[in-house]
Amino acid sequence: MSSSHSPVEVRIDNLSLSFGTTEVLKGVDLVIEPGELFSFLGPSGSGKSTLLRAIAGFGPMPGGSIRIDGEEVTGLPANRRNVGMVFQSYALWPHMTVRKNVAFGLEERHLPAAEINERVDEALEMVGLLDYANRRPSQLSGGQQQRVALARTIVVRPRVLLLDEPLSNLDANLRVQMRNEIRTLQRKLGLTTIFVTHDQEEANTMSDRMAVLDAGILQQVGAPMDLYDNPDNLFVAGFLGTANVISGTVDGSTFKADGGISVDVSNPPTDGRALVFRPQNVVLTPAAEPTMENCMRLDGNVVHVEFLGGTIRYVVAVGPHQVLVDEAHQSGVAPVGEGEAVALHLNLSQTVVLST
Amino acid sequence: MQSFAKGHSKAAWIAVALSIFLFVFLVLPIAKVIYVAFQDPHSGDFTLVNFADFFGAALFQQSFFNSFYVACMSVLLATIIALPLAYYTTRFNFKGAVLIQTLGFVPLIMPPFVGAVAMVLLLGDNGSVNLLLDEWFGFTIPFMSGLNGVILVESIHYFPFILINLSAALNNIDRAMEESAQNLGARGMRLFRRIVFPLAMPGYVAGAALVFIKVFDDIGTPLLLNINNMLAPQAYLRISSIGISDPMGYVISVILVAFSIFSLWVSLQAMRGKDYATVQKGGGGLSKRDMRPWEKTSCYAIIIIILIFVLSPHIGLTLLSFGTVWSFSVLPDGFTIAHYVTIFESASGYITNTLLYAGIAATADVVLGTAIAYIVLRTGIAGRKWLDYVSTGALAIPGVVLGIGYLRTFHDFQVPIIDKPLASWWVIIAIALTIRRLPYALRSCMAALQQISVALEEASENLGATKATTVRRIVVPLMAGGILAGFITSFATAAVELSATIMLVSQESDAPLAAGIYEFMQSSAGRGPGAALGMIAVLIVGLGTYLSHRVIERGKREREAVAIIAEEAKANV
Repeated sequence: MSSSHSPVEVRIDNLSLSFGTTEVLKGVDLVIEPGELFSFLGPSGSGKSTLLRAIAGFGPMPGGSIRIDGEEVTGLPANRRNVGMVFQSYALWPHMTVRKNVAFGLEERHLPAAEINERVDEALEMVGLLDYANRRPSQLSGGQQQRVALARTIVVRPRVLLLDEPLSNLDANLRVQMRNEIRTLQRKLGLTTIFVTHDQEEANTMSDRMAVLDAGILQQVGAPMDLYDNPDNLFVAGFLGTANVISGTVDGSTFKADGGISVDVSNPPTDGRALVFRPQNVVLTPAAEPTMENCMRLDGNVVHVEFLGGTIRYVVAVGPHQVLVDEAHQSGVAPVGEGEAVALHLNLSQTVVLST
Repeated sequence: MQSFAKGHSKAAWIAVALSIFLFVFLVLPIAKVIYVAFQDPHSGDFTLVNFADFFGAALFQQSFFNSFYVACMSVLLATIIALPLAYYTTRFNFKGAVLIQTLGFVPLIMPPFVGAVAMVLLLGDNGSVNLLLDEWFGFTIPFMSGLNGVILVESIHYFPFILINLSAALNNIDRAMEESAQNLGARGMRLFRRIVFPLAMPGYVAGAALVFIKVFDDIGTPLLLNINNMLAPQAYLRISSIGISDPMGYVISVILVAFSIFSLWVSLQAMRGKDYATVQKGGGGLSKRDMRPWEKTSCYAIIIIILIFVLSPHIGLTLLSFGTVWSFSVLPDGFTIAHYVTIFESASGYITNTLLYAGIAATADVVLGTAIAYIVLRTGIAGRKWLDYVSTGALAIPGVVLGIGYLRTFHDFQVPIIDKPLASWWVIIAIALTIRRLPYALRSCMAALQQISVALEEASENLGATKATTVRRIVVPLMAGGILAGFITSFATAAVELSATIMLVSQESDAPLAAGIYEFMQSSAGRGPGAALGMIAVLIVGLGTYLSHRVIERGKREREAVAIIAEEAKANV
């Protein structure tokens, strides 16, 4: 099945939304490019689901504008938007068979019966459930229900596909499988797709680009790896993975960490107040080793060692700071012991100075 | 969470129509009754003189006292019946539990007034039991003399309300509550008094308040037992014998409504903030133990005694409906099916009227119930909760009061074309039944709609369906079980409703089953056919109760599969 139209753009301008007196979205600006797989990532209460529902036309009337393919849809009733949404709970109608569920949207569009049948078969074939057409949703497993929900949505050839926490109800193995299936399907259909998740791994593996939200405010937009490596603020840095955050101040091109350590950095923001780097970007050596090339050096003592399986995490006291260091675990090699003096080597290109 | 206001303009019009209906047929008549009670019958000015007259008259003082006494004693007797039954099922591993559940259901399928006359024949001063007692032991027990009769009939009929509420309350107490008290050193009576009793109390009070008000408002039972000096019968007798301008009927109505509201308030207070559903995962009810042999014996003995009493109206009615002559004898002189032949030949109008009225009322109730439930739960229309409050408020209005209100409000409203006052057109009976049963149908519809996840409706809109289509294709089919259960319950109970109907039947040919039974039972010659009609009433209610139970159980099973998925969804977020 090919989408009947070419992929469309979704443009959100200064979108605000409140439940009663509680502001849930605060002036969100965002452009989702035609054909991309885009994710909204954030903790619960960040407004990510509300934003998705606003695009679909559910929830309170927002301020600002939502345009799909250039058409202003804010205020347009949900049933006239032609954006397909897959609900977190799948929302399959228990009183209808799989076939009836999938045919519903086409019936609402008053297509001829023959065409409806043909397209339902096609959609079910696509998700591999043609043999289950006459079952009730309650007779299917969670993964199968998920596929029916997908088929029901794409069969109407929506302009945009919206997925609300699509994998949260599946067990871990199925999650990885569905992740790839959704990705493949989306590529095949070339459909602009937005999905909501609170799981960074899900967002990282699936999306072309993603938007990180917190407390109703858009924090940063970009490709997953870009956001991970170059977070704009401490929230993004912390939400996308473990980060070392060394507090201090900026003086010229020097970052002065609290407790007396100074580091020369290139072009730090003048109001910078934290030096941020990932634990796996730090190299830990015995204290006697010379400083590594292109690296700055921090001296400290191991205060704690945690074996995490694939990695070993050291907690190293450097002055008043505690620095986390992750090192790949080599089988049979004993980790550095607690209390030992060590040197930490840090490539400055792998650090950022953040002001918020 | 409301959807965009657009698309609800139709719903808003429906809400307006519903409001008008409820105002005209519930609020207005009751307001009229209250207004007239405080109005001087001659000058029309505001006055308290009607109340002064009421409390000054010996007959009304006595009626007031009798009604109060009968209601209290009925609660007491119903408690005495319900307490051991609730105790046995919740504390012991006991095979008779099924028997007790049946016991809790059998009385409800027979309206109390239907069995009243039969009870006199079985347990009255010259009834079967006392004739035998007198012959064998030389003494009699005044089960049915005077107010005792009303108390016995009412408590046998209404004790299930206490049994059901009390059992539920006891079952909701987690074993760990009891065990932790034991762990801290409490045992025996002290444990019961300090832990079990307080936890079960709200459930009991809610049930008892319900019994109190049902008995206080009941009109059929005292009338059939020929007890006229109680409040509800007096209201009926004043209006039907003196006329709708007599203020006493209105004063009594105000008192009945006040007591109803008070009882409902007590019941609500008892439950509010005391939702002691303490059962945790893996818990479930108080610890049960096996009975010792002597306990088992006494337990069965008590159950059998209660069972005999509970079944006595059914036994009596069956005998009466098949008996030839039954007077001053233990059993009828002979048996015949003549009474059934009589009613099918000459009284089938009662049955067809009943099917018509109850059918209209039940249909209207589920339509109104569905519409109100949808408006309250799914739209943002301002003041929508009032539709729920006002409809549910009908619970506090005794049937006799609603009947008086209709008579007074609609007696001078001529219906066009048929050229008759609305108050004496048969349609008013169907409307009264609709209003009376609406609270129950509404609860059923509300519960059904609450079970439906909003996402199911959003998915439909997302695929292009309008709100109206969504209601038709998604909401109503998914509510079907609840709607059907509501329909059957409304139908079965409307079919035997007497209190409002008896006020509104203006001519014999309009009378439904309940009024027919009442008419027949008035004369001793009519008792046989009256009992036969009563058997038909029992059949309708029994069948209805069974069907609605089946529908609800089936709905539960179907929902479970969906509910499990929803549960998992929540757990995983």
